[in-house]
Amino acid sequence: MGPGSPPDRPVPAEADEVSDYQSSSSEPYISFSSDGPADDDYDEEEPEPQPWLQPEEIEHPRRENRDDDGSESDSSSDCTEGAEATPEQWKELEKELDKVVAFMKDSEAAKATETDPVKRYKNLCQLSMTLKIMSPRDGGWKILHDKRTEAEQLAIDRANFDILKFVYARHPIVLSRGESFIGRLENIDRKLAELITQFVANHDKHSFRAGNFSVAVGFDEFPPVLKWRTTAENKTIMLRPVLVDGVAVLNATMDDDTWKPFADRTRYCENWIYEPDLNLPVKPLVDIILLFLIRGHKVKVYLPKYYEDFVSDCGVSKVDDLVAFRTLVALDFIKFQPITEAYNYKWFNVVSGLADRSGAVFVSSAEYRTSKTPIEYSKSSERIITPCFLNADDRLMVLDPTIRYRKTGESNYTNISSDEILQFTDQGDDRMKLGEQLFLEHQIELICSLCKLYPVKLLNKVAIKQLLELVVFAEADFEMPGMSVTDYEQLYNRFERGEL
Amino acid sequence: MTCGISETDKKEYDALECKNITLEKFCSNRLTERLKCERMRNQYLQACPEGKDQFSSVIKLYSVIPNSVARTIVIDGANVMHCGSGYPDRRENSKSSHIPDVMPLLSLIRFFVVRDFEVFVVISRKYAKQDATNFKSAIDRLIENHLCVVVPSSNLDDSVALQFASQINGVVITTDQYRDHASDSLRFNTIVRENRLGIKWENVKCKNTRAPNIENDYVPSKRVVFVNERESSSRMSENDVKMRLYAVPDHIQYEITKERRVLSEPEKKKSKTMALLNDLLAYGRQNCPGVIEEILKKPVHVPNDHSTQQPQPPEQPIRRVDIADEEHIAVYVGDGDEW
Repeated sequence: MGPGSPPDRPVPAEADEVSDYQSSSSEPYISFSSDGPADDDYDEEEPEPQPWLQPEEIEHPRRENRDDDGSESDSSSDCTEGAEATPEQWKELEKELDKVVAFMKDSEAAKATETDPVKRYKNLCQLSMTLKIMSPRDGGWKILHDKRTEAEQLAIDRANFDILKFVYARHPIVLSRGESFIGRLENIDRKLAELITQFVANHDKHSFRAGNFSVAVGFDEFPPVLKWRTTAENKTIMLRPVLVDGVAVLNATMDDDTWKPFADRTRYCENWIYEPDLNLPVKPLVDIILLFLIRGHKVKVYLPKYYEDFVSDCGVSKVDDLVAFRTLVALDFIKFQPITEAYNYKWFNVVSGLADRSGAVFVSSAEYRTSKTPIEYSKSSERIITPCFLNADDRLMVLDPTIRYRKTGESNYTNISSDEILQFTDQGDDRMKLGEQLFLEHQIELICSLCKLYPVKLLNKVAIKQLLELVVFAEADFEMPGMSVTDYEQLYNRFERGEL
Repeated sequence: MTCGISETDKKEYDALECKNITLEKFCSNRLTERLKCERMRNQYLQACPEGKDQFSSVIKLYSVIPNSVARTIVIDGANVMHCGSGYPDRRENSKSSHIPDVMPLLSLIRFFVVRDFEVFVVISRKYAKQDATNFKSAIDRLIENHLCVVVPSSNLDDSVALQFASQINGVVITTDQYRDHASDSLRFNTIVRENRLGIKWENVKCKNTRAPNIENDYVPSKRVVFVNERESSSRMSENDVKMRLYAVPDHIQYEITKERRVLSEPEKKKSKTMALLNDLLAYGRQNCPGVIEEILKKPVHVPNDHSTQQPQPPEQPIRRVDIADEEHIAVYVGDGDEW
């Protein structure tokens, strides 16, 4: 017996519930087969699409039984037509209804006191208030939470405490209270502190106040170091905004390589009900956003309108982390775009058009590009950088902002460096470029907000420590949600003094 | 099937995301899994006779340095499949000297996994296609089990491997010296220097056998030798190899290595990974030579080039939809994009 084909996807415990949910909707269920056309140059004229069939109104199962005044009549009663029910019949009905109510109360009480884990889980899944997502990998519904669990929050707090130990080591109030770790810093942190002191001295404290551009961190070496946004000719470096194609990120995180989500012409995806294969993993988006925030860029993630209504009335979620996704939406990182006729109903055309309009760094996938015109690498939509994931339990991502390609017939590779990808050149509208810049106080605020979502990994920790310590040392007095000196003191009391 | 339920079992059951099986069934499944691992091991031992050769120039890789942490191994899949292959490709128009052989790749993965390293492979997409290698289903199984990263055609697989290694202070195993990458930038120069370990392949007398050691390493057509290219490709001693494969507290990136180790939990996944590799090696030993013969009968496979400027639409099956919904489904007619 040799290795066979991949095992069948486990049937979710509540699969019937999903399919019933789908079939009960009034909206047509639309296939999004990725068996796309061979040619797609959306500049060519396409044949006029047929008018979309209007969803039929569901006949309300009880509607035909309603009387003129809207009250329902019991068409199955024993009364002869036109005759009123007798008092005895009413009493009988009352008894039956009492039995039903008692049964439902007992049933609910039994659910509340249920000890069997499987039944408890199934009862929980059936409740509309239970937030859940279909997880084929786990073989059923995965219960989601609307806030971090204690264990998750503890891991986040520990990671943030590690950052803030360094950030506030030189803070006068912290020093005066004896809560500083200045005498206990690791060698690498001591070195970073020296670099920051030098950096502030070189560029003056006022360069790190409100109204100044973001500071970049370079990852060319370890540890990553702060970079001043000036060229050798003393010109300010204008960074491009980053446009992240959320669909391409979803595609890169999928195990199934046989199809690509939203690759095909797609209409009215906002009407689609729920498709487990389109479940959106949120952490990869957070990782990409954080990566570029640290580098000093404005970032936006674009998703099809299908995801705008990301939790249904019965608690089914289209994203695997509601806490993080709601935060990203609230911080205006996420934009939901319709897929319209102007773009030939193709998602890639929508996002690539947006990238070209803003001259953005375009994080997407060239596999979605079906245009016949050769790539010249001259515009944003052609300079695609693609994340690559090791989709283990702890997902690992590589996203290098460089491009290396070989022209047809040539043996040598041509490189497009990260500076060319990430920075605006001299040409172009200065006001537009200015409008796309991230300012320092906003950079700090956003980074601090994202630090509250997941435990920050070491490589990013080293970069974030420097950025936050820089503004604290420069006395910038920025908003640092969750990472302020007050937050540090609370964490200090908790982890150092053992106070709750 | 009955089994005792330990406190560990209960804890792990409580931590399950979806409790749609009972505790008893959960424990039963785990027992089945353990028995399957044992069965795969026995199958591997039976299918692969013991030979006299060792798979690697370095046999033991266990570090005795206090607090040292094993670095993650990133295997340059294409390089290993080509250079470790014992099947010359003499077909007309072939650009490669050998048919990519998955068995050296599997044996190299197994070599590190059995010694408690986290391992994954990086390959470009063309190697996941039919007839690109002699054991496609093994590549598929590695991908399913998150042991293999498939790099899109727009990226270079060796560049991605180096970047993964750089991020987690891992080590790329390859014969390729990456001179072009090293000369590209100071950053890549540093990565190639710090995050790469060179190997070369030597012929063996007892091909496709099991090494006579406790780890039962699989010896395919060739064996691995760790080399130091800076010293005329001389063989590295076991001590030197350990110095490259373990991070010690003095290293500047020690904490990154330690963090990765904690997050990846290779010890937890070891038995399942070993069962998979034993299964694949046992099957491959019997079937791969036959597949090679079939590949040699076919014309040379021309995979997609990285520099392709007109990406070809992939051939993908049409997804099945409910018959009841047909009138609402867009049905493609012919080759054109017609509703």
